[in-house]
Amino acid sequence: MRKGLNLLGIAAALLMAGAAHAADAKLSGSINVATWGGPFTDAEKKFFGEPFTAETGVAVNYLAQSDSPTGTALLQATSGNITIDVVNSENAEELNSRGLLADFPDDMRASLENESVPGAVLPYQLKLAQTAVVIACNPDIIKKCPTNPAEFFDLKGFPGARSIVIGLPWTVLNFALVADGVPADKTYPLDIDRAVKKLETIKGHDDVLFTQSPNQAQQMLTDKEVGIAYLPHGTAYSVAQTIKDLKIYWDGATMTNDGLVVLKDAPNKAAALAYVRWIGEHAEAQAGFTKAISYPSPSKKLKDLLDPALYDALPTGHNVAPEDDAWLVKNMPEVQKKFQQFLAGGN
Amino acid sequence: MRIRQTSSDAAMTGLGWLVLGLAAVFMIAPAILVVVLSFSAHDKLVFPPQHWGLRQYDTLAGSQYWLQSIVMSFKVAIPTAVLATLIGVPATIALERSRMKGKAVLRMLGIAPIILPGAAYAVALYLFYAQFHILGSFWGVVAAEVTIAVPFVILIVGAGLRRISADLELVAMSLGASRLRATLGITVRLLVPSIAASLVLAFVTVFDELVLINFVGGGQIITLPKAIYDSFRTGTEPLITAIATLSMVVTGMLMLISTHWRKASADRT
Amino acid sequence: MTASVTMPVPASRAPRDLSQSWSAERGPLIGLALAAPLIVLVVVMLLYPLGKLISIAFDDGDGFGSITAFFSSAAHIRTMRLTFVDSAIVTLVCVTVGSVVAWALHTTASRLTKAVLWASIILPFLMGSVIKLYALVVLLERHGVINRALMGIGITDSPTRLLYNQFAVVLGLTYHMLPFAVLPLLAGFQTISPDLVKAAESLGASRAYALFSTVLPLSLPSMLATGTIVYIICLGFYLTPEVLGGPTTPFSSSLIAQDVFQFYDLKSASVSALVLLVGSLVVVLLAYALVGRERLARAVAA
Repeated sequence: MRKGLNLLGIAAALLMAGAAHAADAKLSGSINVATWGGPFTDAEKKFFGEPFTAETGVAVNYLAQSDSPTGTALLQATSGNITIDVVNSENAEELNSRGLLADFPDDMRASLENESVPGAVLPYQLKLAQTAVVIACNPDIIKKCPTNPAEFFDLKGFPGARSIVIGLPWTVLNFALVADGVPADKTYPLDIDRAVKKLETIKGHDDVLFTQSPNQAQQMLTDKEVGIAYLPHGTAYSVAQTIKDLKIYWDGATMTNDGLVVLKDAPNKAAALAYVRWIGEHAEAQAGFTKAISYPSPSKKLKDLLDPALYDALPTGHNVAPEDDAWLVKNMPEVQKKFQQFLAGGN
Repeated sequence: MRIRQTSSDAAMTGLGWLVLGLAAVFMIAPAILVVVLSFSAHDKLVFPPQHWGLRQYDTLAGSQYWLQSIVMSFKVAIPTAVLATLIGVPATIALERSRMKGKAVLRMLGIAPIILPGAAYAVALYLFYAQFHILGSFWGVVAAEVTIAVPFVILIVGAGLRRISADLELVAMSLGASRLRATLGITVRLLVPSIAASLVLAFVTVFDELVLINFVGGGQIITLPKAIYDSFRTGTEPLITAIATLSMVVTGMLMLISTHWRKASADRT
Repeated sequence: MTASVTMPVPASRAPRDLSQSWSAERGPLIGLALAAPLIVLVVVMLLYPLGKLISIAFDDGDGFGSITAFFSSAAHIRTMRLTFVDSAIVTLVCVTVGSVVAWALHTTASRLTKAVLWASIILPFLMGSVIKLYALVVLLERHGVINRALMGIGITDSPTRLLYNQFAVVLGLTYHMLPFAVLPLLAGFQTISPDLVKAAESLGASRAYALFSTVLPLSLPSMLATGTIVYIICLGFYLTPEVLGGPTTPFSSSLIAQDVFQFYDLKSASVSALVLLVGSLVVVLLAYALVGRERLARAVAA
């Protein structure tokens, strides 16, 4: 009986190996993950990459693309020379709308849905490390901290140098709309022109610095180049490790739809899917990752595994409105071009 | 009359010295700062440093990421310098010593890649590479770097060639040597110092190149400048000061050798 | 420019092949063979990519539509202005200060002065382009070396923002370009004897007048040529404006990089690149008309 089962197993394995693109029992080689670098990558390496490699023998290379992992994937897709397997995508909808993503196999999707909180699994994405862009303030050098978008824009009432991270332009537009009086859950569809008009009121002021990457804003806060910043909550959390008194305000924030996706033409697709599945099925690893950098993970068990204080420091623990991805994908060119006009144009 | 002149002379001289002094401080201070900071024992930038040591160098020696990027820089720069020389030297002989038509145009086009605005040329290469799916390929990067190394070969070897009398080859040939032998035995031999100097300069230029790597490297060919640039955006890492100091010493030595060769070539002719 | 020493050697003196025409120059075919790899390189790596760039920039059926769109965008216009004006300031500073440094190097008898000046040209060059930026950030930060020094000697009481503005960009570009300006200027001065100034002074001219009436006219062409090279190289920078200036003071190249890497808009990038190329070509042609090819080439070479 036992032997018979084994034989059946071998036959099944052979069949599966024969079927093209079917999940491979014997994974090998390596996969490339396009991601953010910095403490973020340190955490994913430690809690996901290294245990995954130990278990499967598949090496995981993290390619740090601090401007935009999604952009790098698009770049490779345009060039036709795809070396990336997995993307830690801040804009999966964009990749999906261009037909670049692999859908998860049914059994994998069922398993992930079983392990995760509702809404965390899409046909092509496992939500991970969603971001809310928040206000951080260092009370050591700022006498009166702005606690919401309106106060952030009030340069006279709340003086001090501030940095605005523009890597995700739509979050900045959203921020400006809330500052202008739009309720945080009613900002979509974004009124781009109104947002830009609000932003124009502070642009060019000596106390306002626009910065490309979150990491640069982190450096500015720790080097005390600025005392206030509008930056991703995870970066704020990293800064809070150095500046203990750092204050973080969630008012007016929205949450991005970050998560892991696998490229349809990934060179090592089977291993890439296995990597995403491994993460989805390891609640402890997710909790470790989340503890390290305070970015959310999809597991149902997360709430039990984390310290309540940390769970509350996640955007998923706050009443943060999600972004409207469908609108964003359709209007992204306009958002980006108008934002570029705003930054580079005028005076 | 004379008094007015003297006072204006003094003002002139004073102004000259002021400009010189400011320029020297401005140019030297950052280099000294970097070297000083490289011996700080802090894990982040502190100025002036309170503790001294070799911590930055230690961290550098233990870091896979940085060592790999240094290796990659060598991997790109060495074949590039060699290829650029192999292409550039014969071409320069043709440009300086042949009756080929269109020499002026070819010379201008050969030098053009280092005169064109960097990013504009990089986009053109990017489009070309995207079309043939070679973005991020190693030899694609080398080809791009060869294009900006060849101008240095043309300029330096060309200058060296102009110092060597063309009659020497004729003398050799009148003594029975073939054109090929005269070229290799006389001209190329006398050119060796210039060739070596251009090899070094091409190497140093490519080692330091970032714009083309950024555009055609596809985020996969991580050379030292690219690694520094990437880390730089994430904050001011003190370890960079150690890299800077080391590369200043190495580049300095290479440039000294190269200058020596160029001088040697000037003396010999 | 080329040393075209054609020696009219009588055929009777030729020891071997009487039909072979004798000359220090190789024949056109040998020349072509020697230059073939370069010709291939130029065609494949320069002409083809530039052709591709032009075809993509104009690839929308309505010919100049994309160019018109470029010039009607406020962001592009301002960026072009920033690029061309800031580069001009940098060029002016580099040529002026560079001339003073080069003239001092040419005339000084003091070994110390010479050593210090050479160090100030060579050290930045040795640092590498990215590390220079790093050093400048450390110097200019709000709590950086310069601000501490200024507060230490009591010139200011609170730190001033020196980074992330046009001043920082101009400073960074000047730091990068000054060594490249001094060398060709020095080469230009070396043909002028310092005695000339003394001669003019002995005839009763003030030193200032002597310098401006003798040295300046003689070295003007080399200054123009140097300025042209510095200017064109400045136009193409994108790392310095990005790191020291930030996203609100971009150079054309920053917008090009943004179009490629963030917006995936290759057409817009091509148009910007083309405008930049044409702009610098115009500058080269103007310089060519003013100083001639030889001097321009010499400025590149040094």
